[in-house]
Amino acid sequence: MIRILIIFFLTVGTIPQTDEDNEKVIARQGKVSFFSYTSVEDIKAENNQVLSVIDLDKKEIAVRMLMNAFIFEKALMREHFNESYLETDIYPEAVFEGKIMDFDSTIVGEQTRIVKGVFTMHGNSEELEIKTKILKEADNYIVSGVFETLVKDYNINIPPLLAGNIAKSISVEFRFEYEPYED
Amino acid sequence: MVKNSSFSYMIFFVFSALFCLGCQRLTNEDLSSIEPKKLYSTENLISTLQSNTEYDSEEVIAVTGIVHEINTINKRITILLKADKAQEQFVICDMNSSQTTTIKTIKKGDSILIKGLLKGILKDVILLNCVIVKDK
Repeated sequence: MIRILIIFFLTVGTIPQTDEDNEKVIARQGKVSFFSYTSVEDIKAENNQVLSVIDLDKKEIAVRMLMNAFIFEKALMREHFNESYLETDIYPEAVFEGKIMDFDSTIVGEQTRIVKGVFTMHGNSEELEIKTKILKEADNYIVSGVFETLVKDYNINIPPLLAGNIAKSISVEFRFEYEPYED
Repeated sequence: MVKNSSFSYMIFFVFSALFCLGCQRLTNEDLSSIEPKKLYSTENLISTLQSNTEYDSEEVIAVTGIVHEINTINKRITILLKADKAQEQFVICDMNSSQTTTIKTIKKGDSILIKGLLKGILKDVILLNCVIVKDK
C-alpha cells in the first residue's frame, strides 16, 4: 500500500503543469493614459477598462484594451483619434504580451522590474522594454509605470495640417490593480 | 497646389466633425433622455457580443442585471453587473458623474436597469457614461 502511495505521489509530482493550473491574477479596470504635449495644444486621454492578466508562475503579462474606449477632453480630439489616426473600426484593440524579467511573485512590498514584450496597435507591432513598479499587498498586485513611444512606429497617418498638434513622442502611463483569478 | 491640399483637409475635417458630432457627444453627455436602441439582460448582452463580431458599438443600450460590485477604481464610479450563469464575466458600467447621488441608493445584490454607451467586449462587456434607469 505504501509503495502504491509513493508511486502515486511521484507520478502526480512529475505531471507537467498546464496553463489552467498556473496561478493567475486579473485586472479588469486597468488604467492607461496617454499625453501628447506640443506648443499648439496638449492632448490627454484615458482608458479605465483595460484588461490584463498575469501568469505568476510563467511571469507572463497580457494586456488588451478597446481603442474606442479612450475618454478625451474634447469630442473633436476623440473623433480624430478614432476615425483618422487609429482607425478603431478596423483595429479595435491594442494588445501587449510580455514577460516580467526577474519577477518574484512572493516578494511582499515593492519591486521594480523590466517588462519585455510586444505591443501591437493599429496593425503594427513594436518590441518594448518598460520599467515597471510592482507592489504586492496580500494576494493583490498593483503594477504601474510610464514609458514613451513614437507615433511613427505605428503607421499612424497624420495630415500635414495637423502635424504640429501632435507630439512625435507620446507619453503613456499605466496602472493595474490585480486580484486572484481562476480561468 | 499646396493651398488646394490644405483647403481640402480643412473641408474634410469640418465635415467629419459635423458628421460625428452626434455620436461623439454621447461620450460625455447625460444619456437620461436618450432612448436606448435595445434592451438586454446581462447574460444576453455577454453572449451576443461573444458570438457576433458585428454589434451595436457606439450605440446607447439598456441592460438589466444584478449588482456584483460597486467600486471607485481609478477614481471613477463603476458598477459591475453579473449574469446568473457566467460567473466570471461581467458588464462593466463606467458611470456618468451625474450619478453620484443615485449610486448611494444601490447596493450589491440589487437588480437594476442601466443605460450606457456600448463600447465592446474584452473579457467583460464595457459600457461608458452609464445612468441608472431604475432599481427594481
